[in-house]
Amino acid sequence: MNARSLLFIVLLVTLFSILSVALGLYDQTQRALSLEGNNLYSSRSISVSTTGAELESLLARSGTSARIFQELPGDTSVRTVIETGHPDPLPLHSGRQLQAGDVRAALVGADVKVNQDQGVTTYEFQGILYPVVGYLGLHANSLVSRTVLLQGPGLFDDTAASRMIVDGSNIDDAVLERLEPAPAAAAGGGTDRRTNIDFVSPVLLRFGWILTVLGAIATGLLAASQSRRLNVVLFQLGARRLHILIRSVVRLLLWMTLPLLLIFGTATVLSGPMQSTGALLLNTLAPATLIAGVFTVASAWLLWKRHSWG
Amino acid sequence: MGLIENFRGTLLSTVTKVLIVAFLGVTAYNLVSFTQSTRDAVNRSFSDSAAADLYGLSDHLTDPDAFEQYRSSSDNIRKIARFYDNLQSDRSLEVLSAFDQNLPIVNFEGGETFEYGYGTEMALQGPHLDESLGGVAVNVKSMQMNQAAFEFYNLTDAAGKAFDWESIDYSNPSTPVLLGSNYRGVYEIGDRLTGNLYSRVARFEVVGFLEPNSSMFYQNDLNFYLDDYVLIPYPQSIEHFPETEAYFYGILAFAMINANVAVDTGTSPDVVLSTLATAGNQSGFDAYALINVPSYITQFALVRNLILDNLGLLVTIEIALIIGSIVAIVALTRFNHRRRSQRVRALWMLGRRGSALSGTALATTVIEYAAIAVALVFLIQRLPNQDSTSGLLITAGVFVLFLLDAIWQQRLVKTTILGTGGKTA
Repeated sequence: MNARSLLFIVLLVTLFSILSVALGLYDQTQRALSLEGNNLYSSRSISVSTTGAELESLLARSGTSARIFQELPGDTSVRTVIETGHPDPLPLHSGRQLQAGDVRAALVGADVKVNQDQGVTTYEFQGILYPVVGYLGLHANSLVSRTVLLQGPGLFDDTAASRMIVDGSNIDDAVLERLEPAPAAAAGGGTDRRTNIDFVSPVLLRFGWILTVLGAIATGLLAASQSRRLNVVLFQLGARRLHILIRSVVRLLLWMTLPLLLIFGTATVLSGPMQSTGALLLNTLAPATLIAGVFTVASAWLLWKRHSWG
Repeated sequence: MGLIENFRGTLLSTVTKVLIVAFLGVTAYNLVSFTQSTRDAVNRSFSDSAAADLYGLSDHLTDPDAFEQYRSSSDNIRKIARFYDNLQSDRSLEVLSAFDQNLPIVNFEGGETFEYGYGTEMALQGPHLDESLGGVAVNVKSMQMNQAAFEFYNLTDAAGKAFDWESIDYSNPSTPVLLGSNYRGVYEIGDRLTGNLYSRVARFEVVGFLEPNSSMFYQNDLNFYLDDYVLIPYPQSIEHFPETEAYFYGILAFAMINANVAVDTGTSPDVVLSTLATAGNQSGFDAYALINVPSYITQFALVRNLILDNLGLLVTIEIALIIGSIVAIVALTRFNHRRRSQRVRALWMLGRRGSALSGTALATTVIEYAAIAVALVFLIQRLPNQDSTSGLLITAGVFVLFLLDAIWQQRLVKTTILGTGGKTA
């Protein structure tokens, strides 16, 4: 591989990593938009009547990612929430998502009255202060600008079975049977029902990912075919096959490092509170890993199968 | 037969290229289809004419005794009816009258999703014996509304038939109703239903179905969908109601003035209040209350923004996909050409005519794009959103791509033949 074609390969690696990161960000943002348009419920949410403690233990046992909501007395715009696993991120324009480690935390819309005390923003509910960790809505001016979500001990009504909304992707059938769910009215699809986004977006995503994978495979093959001539020369000069392979793979990896770091850094800055660092890192590295893998296999195949070289 | 030779050693890359173009085509098709769906949604519920300031109109007889006393007089009911008529005839505002209630329907054939209270905290009553109807009835969701509300929310009969508002008269033997789109398959046009409307046996005739996902602004929610509802039209006027049915028309009159008043955005509340005062003076009904409903115009703007945000997001990701695909397509085309160019050069040196070599290259491109077309048709037919305009646009797009690709590949062959294109090898 000469410098020019190596540069071209690095360009392709960069391109497909960007595409992968963009698809991941798109996916999260689209889901968040969808939640924002439907009172923070996805179209999979169901309404059940149970106690918070029982529900939480049932869901924890089935290992499902879900969010459980209950309206708090007094104001319909204030809800308490428990998260199990890793549900889709909520739409936020600043701050961060709720975390399991938060003893008390609040997510509030931009129009919610909050208290400021020594640089700490809090929301007061029944005399208890909940630190505000994030602001709801992809923009400050949003459909959830008056919404409050609280996480904290004792908020769920555990004295008797009461109505709550469970929102999770694949809740265990056994759990569902025990809960006798009824669909939640709010889960009718909200704003998303107005357009065909519900099937357009998954198709776009699926084909986007296929495109990225195909592009990555093609890049790997292209890189392997371009380094073939150099490998032949090295082999004829007496280098060992394994040595040649390692040398070319390491060279490719080294060249990929800088653009990948740049993409990851830019994406982390740009993505805001919508996507976790782990997911960003995964999306950045996935196409590059595939390219390097295909490159290694194809190069090895070319090196070992061509007996005529000797 | 240089054509077959052209795919030797380039089969894998050619298949990859075909798949990439086909997949890109599918995503573009989807985007075009979504753009149209967005435009439809915006036209249906977010046109400029639907941008209005809303006020909530109701009576202020909150005390049940005062309410009963007021309603017991036929004169009072006529006053309300005149008040409603006066307001309706005023051009500066629109009275969007709508009221939801449970409607017991005897021998109901639909499932529990149509039941009043389904999906809310309310307990469902289920099938029960209704004595006035003389049979087992189910309380279903129903929405009563007037013509102004129906038109303001752009509700339409899915069959495109105009609803005959002038003919609505509750003293007729039957009242035409429209059903939400989820009622398709439960009832047919022409079916007759018997129900209990305000303690009076009422017969309804199904005259049509609403468009799927028909929505209106109700109970402070712009995303209030009517797919599970029976839509009962209000009569144009009830001023001349039969004296014997004062009880029924008394309830109806109060329901009818339970309305939203829509005025052009920016109209001063004083104008609305004075219009109401005039109507009140002329009719003799002044027990009304008016409250500002700012949530409509706020939600109107925000939901529209949300829909447009979604479109923006899709366009951005599609542009990223197009750039990615084009780079991949160019890389694969160059790779294929490099493989093929050695043969082209050899054949040229062996005396093959340039036009024959160009012809083979063109045939190769044609085969590539024929395969792309087949793959695209195969994939698009499997999508849930079929739409001919998007299909046409994508066909045009792929054709342009084909032309560009063919011209480029012809040039590559030419530079190879001329021997000046050392860099292409």
